[in-house]
Amino acid sequence: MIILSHLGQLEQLIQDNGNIAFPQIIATERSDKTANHILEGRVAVIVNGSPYVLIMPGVFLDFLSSPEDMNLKHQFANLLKIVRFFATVITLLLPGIYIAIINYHTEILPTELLFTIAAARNTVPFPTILEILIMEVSFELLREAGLRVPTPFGSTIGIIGALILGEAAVSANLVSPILIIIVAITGICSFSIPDFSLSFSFRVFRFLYIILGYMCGLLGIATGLFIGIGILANLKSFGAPYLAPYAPALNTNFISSYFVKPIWKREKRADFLNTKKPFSENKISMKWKFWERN
Amino acid sequence: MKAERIGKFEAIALMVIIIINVVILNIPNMIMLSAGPSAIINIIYVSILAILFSIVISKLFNRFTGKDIIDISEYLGGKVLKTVVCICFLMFFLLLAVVAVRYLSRSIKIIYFNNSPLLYLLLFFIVPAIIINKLGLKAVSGVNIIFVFMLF
Repeated sequence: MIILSHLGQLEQLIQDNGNIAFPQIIATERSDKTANHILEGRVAVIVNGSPYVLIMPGVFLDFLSSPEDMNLKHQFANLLKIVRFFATVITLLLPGIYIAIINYHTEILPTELLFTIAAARNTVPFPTILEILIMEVSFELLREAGLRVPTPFGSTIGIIGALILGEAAVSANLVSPILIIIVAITGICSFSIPDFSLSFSFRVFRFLYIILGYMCGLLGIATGLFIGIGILANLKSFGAPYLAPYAPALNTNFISSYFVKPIWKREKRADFLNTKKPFSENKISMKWKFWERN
Repeated sequence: MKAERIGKFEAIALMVIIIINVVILNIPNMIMLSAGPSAIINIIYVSILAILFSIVISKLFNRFTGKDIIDISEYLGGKVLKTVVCICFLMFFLLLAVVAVRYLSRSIKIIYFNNSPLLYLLLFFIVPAIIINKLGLKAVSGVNIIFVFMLF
């Protein structure tokens, strides 16, 4: 018999593929998010004693979307979504791309920038891979330490770690200043991912891309992306393709496509959910506005 | 083997990826090298010939709706012709794949990885190809459609 003390354990038991680090079920504490997903045609599981709710099926784009997107004007929400998408790409690939460029593809940098990086790295005794791994592991340690200590100390540890340790490491010629910038940008971007589980999986895969970038430059990173997207394209969450609605290409005219439409145009429910009622709104949503008195 | 089908958009994405590789990256260079200043007139001639060939092929295929070249060869010459056509196709694609991968790896080695052995670079093409083929046609089409978005 399996004893369930938390919803996270249930999530691991019922997800389609437990070997893949990417989240396949949405876990949330927010009631508005749960209500929105239920109205869209998904299923929510509530376990007595746990503050979380599991919502399924969860596709990749759900984990990049914030519940606030639905409440904001579509122009603002889409701008935030574009920023979030670039932040996601940066947090996953920036350290890997940096190491690939420094080791193999220096010609794609402007000459002045190349000289600046070379001058900054001149006094560092370690190879780039070791340097970047030291910084990434230090950053993960700081993050973990910040979580474990009481809340008032958490932010203090983060600030002290980031400022003092970073400055001291540069002064001691252990790492180059440009690498501090790279790791800091990567860390900041990782906080912009709305879902904790997705952020966690990107933290794991970032190390993989660092190693691939070190092994074979941009070719290695492209290979990693190719295999990663292929695995995700093959993955299903409760029958829904994980990269839906883009791979396989389905009708994107619904609420779950990445960019949001104005609220009066969110008529169609997601194709991959196979809902009994495909429309969530009438064709004319604002009848009070367009209704003519006869 | 399990039969898998891909949708209209996935099929278009596969074709666009191939067309981008061949038409945009390779053909201009080849035509400039072979035809020199008369490259533009050559492109017009080749385009006319290509359109004519496409019309002839589509007219011929109209009689065999929903069938591919292997089905048609079976219809024309039975199992013997079907086997011959299958072997020819396999040999052609194997040769094409081997030459293309070897050529690309050699080019990348010369440009970026002078100190790495060729086999090491070849692994970066062969391993993903094996993994993606094991995952199936859906994975291939899924990767293609995402990469088409990235390319544009």
